[in-house]
Amino acid sequence: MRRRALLAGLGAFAAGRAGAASGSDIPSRLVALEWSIVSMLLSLGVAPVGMPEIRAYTRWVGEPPVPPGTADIGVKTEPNLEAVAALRPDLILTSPLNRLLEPKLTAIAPIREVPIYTEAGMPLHLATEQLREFGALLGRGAEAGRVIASAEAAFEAVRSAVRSEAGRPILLLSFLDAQHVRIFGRSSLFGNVLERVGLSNGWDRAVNLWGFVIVGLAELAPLREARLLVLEPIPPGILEQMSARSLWANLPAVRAGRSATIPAAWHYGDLTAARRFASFLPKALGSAA
Amino acid sequence: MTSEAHRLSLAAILGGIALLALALAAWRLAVLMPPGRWWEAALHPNLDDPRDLVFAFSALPRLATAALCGAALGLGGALLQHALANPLASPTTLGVESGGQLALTIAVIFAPALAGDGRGLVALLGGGAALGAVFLCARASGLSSISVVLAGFVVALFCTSLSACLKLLNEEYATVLFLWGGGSLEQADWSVPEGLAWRLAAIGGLTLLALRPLSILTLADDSARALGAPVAATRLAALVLALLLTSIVVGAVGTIGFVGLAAPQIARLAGARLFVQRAPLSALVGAALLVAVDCGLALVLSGEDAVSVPTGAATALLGAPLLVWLLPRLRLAAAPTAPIPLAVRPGGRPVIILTFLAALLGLAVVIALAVGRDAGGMTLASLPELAAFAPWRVPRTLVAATAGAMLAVTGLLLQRMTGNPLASPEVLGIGAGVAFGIALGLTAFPTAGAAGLLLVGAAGAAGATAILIAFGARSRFQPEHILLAGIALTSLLDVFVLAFFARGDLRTAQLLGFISGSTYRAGWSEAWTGLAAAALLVPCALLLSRILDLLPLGDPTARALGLPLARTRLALTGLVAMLTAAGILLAGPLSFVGLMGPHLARFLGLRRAFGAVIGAALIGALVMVTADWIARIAIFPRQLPAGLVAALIGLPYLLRHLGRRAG
Repeated sequence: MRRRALLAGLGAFAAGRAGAASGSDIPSRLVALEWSIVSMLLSLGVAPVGMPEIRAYTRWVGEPPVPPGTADIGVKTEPNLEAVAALRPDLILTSPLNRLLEPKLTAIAPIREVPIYTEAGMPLHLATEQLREFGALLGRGAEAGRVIASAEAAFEAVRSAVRSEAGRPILLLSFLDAQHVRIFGRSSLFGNVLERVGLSNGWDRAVNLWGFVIVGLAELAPLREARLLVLEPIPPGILEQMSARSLWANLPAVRAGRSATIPAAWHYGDLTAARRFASFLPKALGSAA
Repeated sequence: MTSEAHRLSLAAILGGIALLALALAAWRLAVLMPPGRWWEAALHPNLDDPRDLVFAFSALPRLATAALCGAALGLGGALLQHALANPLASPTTLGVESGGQLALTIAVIFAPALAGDGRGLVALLGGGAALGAVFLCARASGLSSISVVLAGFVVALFCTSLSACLKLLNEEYATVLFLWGGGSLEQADWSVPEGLAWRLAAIGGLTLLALRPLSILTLADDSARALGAPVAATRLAALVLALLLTSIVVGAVGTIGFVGLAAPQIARLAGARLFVQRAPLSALVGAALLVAVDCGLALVLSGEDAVSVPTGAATALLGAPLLVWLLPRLRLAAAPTAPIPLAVRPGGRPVIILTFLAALLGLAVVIALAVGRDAGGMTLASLPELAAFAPWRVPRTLVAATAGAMLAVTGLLLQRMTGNPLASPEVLGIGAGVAFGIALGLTAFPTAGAAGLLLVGAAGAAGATAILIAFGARSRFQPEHILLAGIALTSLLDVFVLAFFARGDLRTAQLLGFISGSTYRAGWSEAWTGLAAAALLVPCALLLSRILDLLPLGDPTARALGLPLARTRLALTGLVAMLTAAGILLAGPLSFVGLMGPHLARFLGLRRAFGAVIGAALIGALVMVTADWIARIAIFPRQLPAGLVAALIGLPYLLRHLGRRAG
């Protein structure tokens, strides 16, 4: 695991992890620079004092909801440093994407990098690990244990619900326009979930660091046995535009009725997003069967 | 038009291109399907065979789309070149495509309903606005070929940078927008080529019917008018037809660069001297070119790589060399190298003006450091607070100031070297070199730090400069050639940068931030770098000020006064390259400060080069510091790229200023 840098001031928390975290050692003014981290904190019942792009978070991620009073610190890639400093955080939680900013951020407060999307391609595992560590760090060990246990139970329930589908490879995709799709490979968060619930991913070609790849629709044609799961949101008008004379309508999987849509979940997300995605699987697969 | 044209026969050129297109198309299809089954697979595809599916529903409609788009752009380019009597005119070089693309970007984000069926109309509005802006910009220089192309390039840059900013602030849409913008010809049914077919049949048919009336534009305006022809109305009609043709293509597949420039040129080269021949031939050549590029690309790239390099960008690989090859054949050398009359307010006293500018800059710096914004509203920092804010505000203000100064001095050098009021570092291609270097760096070393990125960016700048100098040496540093080579270089390098974007990688945001001119990442080391570079390079420009006074007098005068022209230009080019690289690395390539600084200096009456260099530097710094401050507070807590704010300030100014000078 490539977890880095419990920087200055965090030694105390590392020590406090063994004994029960108590009182003032626990960082209470947290700024999170990435939505998946925000979601992790909120799932433990901890509200960050600052986070990026609250309005867009509400639209793209949605749950858990952001409590009122959380400050907006600007865009994810260029958080407003003056705004971050003004919040007087005692810990800044960053993603590996923020590395270029590290020198500036450490001038404001200690930082802790939260690696979920790494070359290892295990975001589900890392998100779970990180949540456990958050629990210890923030004195919310019990909550973390509960969230993880309940997610595991949910995954197990989904696993038994979709057992009959285990043999058939699944292609998980989302439409970018009428000609291009984003396909989620095994190293994506949702790819990890498919594996966790005993399903197999039908895409075994190259993917990027976040576990997906963008290809033309024609690349789907050779994958004849697959079941297609289309992640919402679908750009307006696209499926209606797919006439009987379109490639999509004539794909073996679509003609055989082996395609279904599945409600949106944030694909750069954390355990909450993974669980949300998993919860839609039985219905999506059942209605397609 | 040239002696080569006489030697190359029409049949050989056209036959060659058509054969190439047919051969590549046949090869491409043969890879997918044995030729014996083509007919059957096209009409009655076996739905259980994935090869038939791809052939019938993807490859064939894509081929048709390529042919239709190529034909439309070829015809559109021929119309533009004819109407403006400008061999460098095209939907790409006049900014029509970028304008349409910007309008579509705005529509996708703010009015998605319009982005469906209304795409063509949206592209038409944007393209028309861009063309209008180009005319306003170039009017001062009497719509000469080179001015129109430079103005088109500036407007295109502006549209592109505004699109980039919108993407930066709406990151979740970025991947979709890049796919759209790139001009991907990928198809998954026949709806796109069918839509294109009937629209193009209507507009193209109208054009072909109107060929004879349109061809009166070949005559000199006076003789045409003497024959009773409505010259202005005819020209307008030709422009509107070209706009319509381009918008249909942009609305359907996005930007397809350079086909509209290349096709009419090839038709002309093939000996089609009359417009009535050239227009239909351009359509045919355009179709053949785009089919050839698209099929060639599909043969080389597949899967995710094919998405990374969309056809509409790859055409620059064809168009940019063509532009460079065309340059010496365009008789630009015969274009007046005499100075364009520059508006100077008489009676300026340099010392007073410069003191005033310095005071203004000081005031701007104080405001930038002391005035900020928080969740509650605007704030004025007290002295102890100033110290707390210093680490955030001082480095970026310093970076903005020094970058602005260096870019403005670059612009002054370029404008004096070329006698062209639209010359600026933005068009030199060095910015694209830096972006290319950084894109390459982010791909090869994803975890590179700021210093590493700066290094690869500088390497890119050096590479672009070396190419530019090599090219400049061949054409004896003729100013127009260097500028057009810069445009060609920019288009070429942008293909690779775009390929990087299309990967849909989250790292694109980093590059976007740089490209749109963000001072966000500036720290103390960048600030000191900027100060050192400016302190070193700007005095070099001052040392050369005597030369800068002589150059605008025209080559013969300068030579008579004993100026070794070639060596002087080499030295100036080197200085320009270093200034641009430093300025762009610090503040991004799209500030337009290089255009504005020297203009304002001249407008204030700083005529002699020595005072003008200092004045331009002060103005450049002033504009960028102000832009950076606005960028910081305008949409708090989000921030705009300072370079873009400067561009937003600058373009309307330029339009007004250049337009008024014509009147």
